[in-house]
Amino acid sequence: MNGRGLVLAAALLLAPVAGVAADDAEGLGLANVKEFTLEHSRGLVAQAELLEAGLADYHALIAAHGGDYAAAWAAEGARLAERIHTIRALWLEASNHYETIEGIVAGIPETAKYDLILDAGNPGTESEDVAEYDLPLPDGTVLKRPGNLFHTITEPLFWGMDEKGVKLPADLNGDGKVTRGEMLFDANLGLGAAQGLARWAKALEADMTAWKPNREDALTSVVVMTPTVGDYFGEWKESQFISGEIGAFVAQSRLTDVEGIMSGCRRMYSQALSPVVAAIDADLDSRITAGFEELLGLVEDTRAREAAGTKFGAEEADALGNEAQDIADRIVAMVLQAAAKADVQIRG
Amino acid sequence: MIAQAARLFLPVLAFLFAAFGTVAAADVPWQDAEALRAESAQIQRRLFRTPDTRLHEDVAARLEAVRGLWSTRLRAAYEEAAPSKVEAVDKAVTAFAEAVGRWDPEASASARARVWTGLLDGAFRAALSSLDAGRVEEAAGWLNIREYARTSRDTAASIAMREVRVGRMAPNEARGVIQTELLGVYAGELRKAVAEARDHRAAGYEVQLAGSLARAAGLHALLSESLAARLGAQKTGEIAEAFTRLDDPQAPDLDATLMRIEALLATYAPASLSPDERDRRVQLLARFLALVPVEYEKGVRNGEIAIPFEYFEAGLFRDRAEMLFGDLGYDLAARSPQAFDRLSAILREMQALIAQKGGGTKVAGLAEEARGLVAAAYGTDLSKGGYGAALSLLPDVLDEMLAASAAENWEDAELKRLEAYALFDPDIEQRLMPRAPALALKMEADFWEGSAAEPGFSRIVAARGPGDALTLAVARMKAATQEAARILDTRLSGLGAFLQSLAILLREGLEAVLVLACMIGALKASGLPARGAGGWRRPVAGGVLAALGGSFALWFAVGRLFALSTLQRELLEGLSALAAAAVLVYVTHWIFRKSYVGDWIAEIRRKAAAAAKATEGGGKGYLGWFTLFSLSFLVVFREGFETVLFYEALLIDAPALPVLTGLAAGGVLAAGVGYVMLGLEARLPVSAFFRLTGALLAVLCVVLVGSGIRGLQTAALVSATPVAWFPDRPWLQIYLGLYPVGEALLAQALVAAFLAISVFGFVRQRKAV
Repeated sequence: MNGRGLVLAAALLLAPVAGVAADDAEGLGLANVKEFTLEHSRGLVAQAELLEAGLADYHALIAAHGGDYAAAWAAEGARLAERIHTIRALWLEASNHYETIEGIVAGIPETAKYDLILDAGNPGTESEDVAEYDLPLPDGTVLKRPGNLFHTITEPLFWGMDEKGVKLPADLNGDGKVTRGEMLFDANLGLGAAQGLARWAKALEADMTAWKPNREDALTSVVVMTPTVGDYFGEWKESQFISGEIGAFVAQSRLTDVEGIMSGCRRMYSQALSPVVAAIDADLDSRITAGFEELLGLVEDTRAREAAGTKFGAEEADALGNEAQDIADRIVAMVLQAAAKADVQIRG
Repeated sequence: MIAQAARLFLPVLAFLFAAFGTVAAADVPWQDAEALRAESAQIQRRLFRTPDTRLHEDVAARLEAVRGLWSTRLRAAYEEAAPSKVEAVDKAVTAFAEAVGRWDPEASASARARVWTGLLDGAFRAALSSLDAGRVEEAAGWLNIREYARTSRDTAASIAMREVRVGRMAPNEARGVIQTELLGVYAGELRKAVAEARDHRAAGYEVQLAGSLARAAGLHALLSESLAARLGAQKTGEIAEAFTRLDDPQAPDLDATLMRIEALLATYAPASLSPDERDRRVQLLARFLALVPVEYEKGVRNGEIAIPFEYFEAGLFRDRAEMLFGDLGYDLAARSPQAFDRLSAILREMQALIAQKGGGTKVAGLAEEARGLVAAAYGTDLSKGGYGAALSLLPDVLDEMLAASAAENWEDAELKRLEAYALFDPDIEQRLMPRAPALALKMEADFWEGSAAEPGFSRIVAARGPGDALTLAVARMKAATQEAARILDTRLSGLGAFLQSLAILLREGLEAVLVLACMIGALKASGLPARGAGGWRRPVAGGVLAALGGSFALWFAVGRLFALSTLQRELLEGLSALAAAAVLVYVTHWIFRKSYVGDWIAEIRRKAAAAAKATEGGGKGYLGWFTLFSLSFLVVFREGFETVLFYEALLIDAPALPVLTGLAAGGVLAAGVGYVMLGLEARLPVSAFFRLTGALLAVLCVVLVGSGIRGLQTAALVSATPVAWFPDRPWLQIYLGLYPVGEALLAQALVAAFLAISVFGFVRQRKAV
């Protein structure tokens, strides 16, 4: 028997063992992914509750002056400025907990609705991807399908980009000037949204706890979420960080979302799927793994450069987005080859 | 710094892994190709930056890695398996190194694209030649250097390679599959590169423009043999000549050249579609062209978006039509170059109109013209879309409904349910009803409330779950769809066509014949004159003729003059059934009264004069002219339109002669039933005849009420609650209008109770007299 024959014979003998090992590794990987997601879900709930408490405090300060923002500012200016500073910091922490697991939450059919409600859904005026929920406010008003809580409601509200939500321009940093974003925002909407955030974060945690991890969901999650990288890069390109115009995503760069989502996809693949794919086709697994490394490398480099103050030109930003999309398309195509070989149905 | 160093050494690690890897990997260093692609991309990204010493050093190290990856093992492997590509890659690697040395991002992007497309080209040829030589593992290694279908999810090549490696497929068979898929992928990538070049040119992105142009040129070289084989020497020469003019990205006529290439490639398909695949695409194309104006008219009013979802769907359906047009382009151009050019222009015009929210009439006109072109090229059967297209699309739409429900987006799930039903009702149900009425009814019920044991889509979606039940219902529907396809794909025999034609007429027409016969019998028994202005013959015959004319007129007008949606048709049928039931209850009540209460003949004769006056527009008379006319009209019109549709559908599937024979035989049988009823009038005592016809009409009242309520339920105007205690039998539903649904049964029970009470009251009245 020549060398090749020996390798084939060994492969045949070890194949069942490898299959069992892959199953165990898959189960363990899926459990790890679930635990990781739950950990951040719990973090999100904790931060959302703190945010709710912060908003309740802010709301109480305004209410103590009969809802007169000017009077409240005149009497409690320093406290209100400090509250807004705290609220923004809490918002960022809550948002970052969610961004870390967004790729997984949005990719699992059973939890995908929470992504629309919390982070990615449109208001009811849009035709697709509508966040299906109504938001009750403390004064009894109910906002019908108002859009997602993080980026449609709270971020523009807390950072003063929602003009309707600005109640009083105010010199929050005390530098003698009132620049854009320095203002008191609508306390009623803010508290209602924070309550909604806490409520839906708890619902997500409950559904994620009930989720039974499985191969189909893991594959679907990777196939559905990985190609969204181009959309997020597009939003990044259009945001103030590239165009210099004030728009959405003022609190932090959209690249934070890209990094969180793609990290989630990589985690799902490397922990839950890689053992299965490697057992079927080791070459394919290594190519997919390398693809994720390449994609995350591109995203992390870009994010690091942005954080270091790099100003990207229009073509460079466009080229980065196109390249990220190309890599993502390639990864998804290879994952689909793996799914076909494993006879796994992709949902959605 | 550490991270940078780690990334720099990734190619080296890949190299080491490759060196000690598996047998296949040792033969084909595909990992080196992957590493080269990734590393050259890293360099390209850095060329956007302003260089400093550190960046220069970083890039120089990476460039060295790229050169090493090519020259160490890849070059030797290509030299052996694809020698014709070595020189091109050699030159491109050198050009890349020189461009990077000059910090020239445009030239670098161009050279990098040439390196990669050269590697793809060689790997493609090497994979096929390895299969030809039976070196399967080597072929599998080469197949790792490739591009993938971005959206079509093609996986046939991977599966074929898996099968050939385990000995379940012959290498030459796998070769065909792999070649077809890869050529298709590269043809798509070529079109994409040309389109991107135009975009980059418009945006002024010089670096990306250079990359796209070089990628297009490289893919053109890869596909050159296929292009020559598929398009012929002249057109291939024109394409090659156009590509020579892409060398200068600054050329003023660059955009015109790219457009010309797009036009020349429009009819290129690397592989011919099989007749089945082609027919399926023609049907789908016709169907999507028909759907665009339907959705658009709902979605856009007066230049504004009225219903966003419908507007979105109109755009989506146009895009799908364009994709199918792309697949069919080569075939259509061969059949009719004029039709190809015009259809291409129409799709562009539609796109512009939809984007501008232009006039719906214009969109409808364009869609109609496009369907005409498809019909002229492929025949009217295929261009109708028909059940084949509907059966193909239905599972996809059901999956979309499931996906929407899984995301808890129940409003979208409901829209998808209605979209699926719109596919089922006109194209599947009408063809299936004449041939398998039980299956058609079961499928229809599953779109709505289903049964108590197996809830249908409408009920589950309205209750927002549970998801498992919806998954089960979809699985049932998919199985039923397959069964329907099997039945409809089977050509009917002459005897089968005859029997089904006979069954349609008896099923749809017997009810009307019985009602009319009973009514005419009662009128004759009453001694009323048939002829003359005050006679019953004119209103009865007029009603029947008007109904027949109306049925054909409606059949003719629908689709030509106006659209009648599925739900509107159900509503029309339901309302006409209920109106007929209302008139019939009145008539039945009257007949019972006459049959049980004495001196009825005198009363009838006394009212005969009044009837004559009523005919002339006078006062209210006995079973007045309008009552007779409307009842005759309603009982015939109720089923008339649908009967015409059923026969139209049957004639598509079956030979005409047996269908017409069945129709004639059914007519004779129905007339026979009518004759027997009228004969009874002559033989039975008048009161007994009235009791018999009254009882029969009472049953028909109950049938009509059941059908009417069911129609309103299907039109989504009345809720439907399935009940477990009533039998779910197709024959009860088809012939007696008895559905296991609470609302319909309740309405039928109330009507039956009313008629029973009226009989009971008349009996007591008679005893009292």
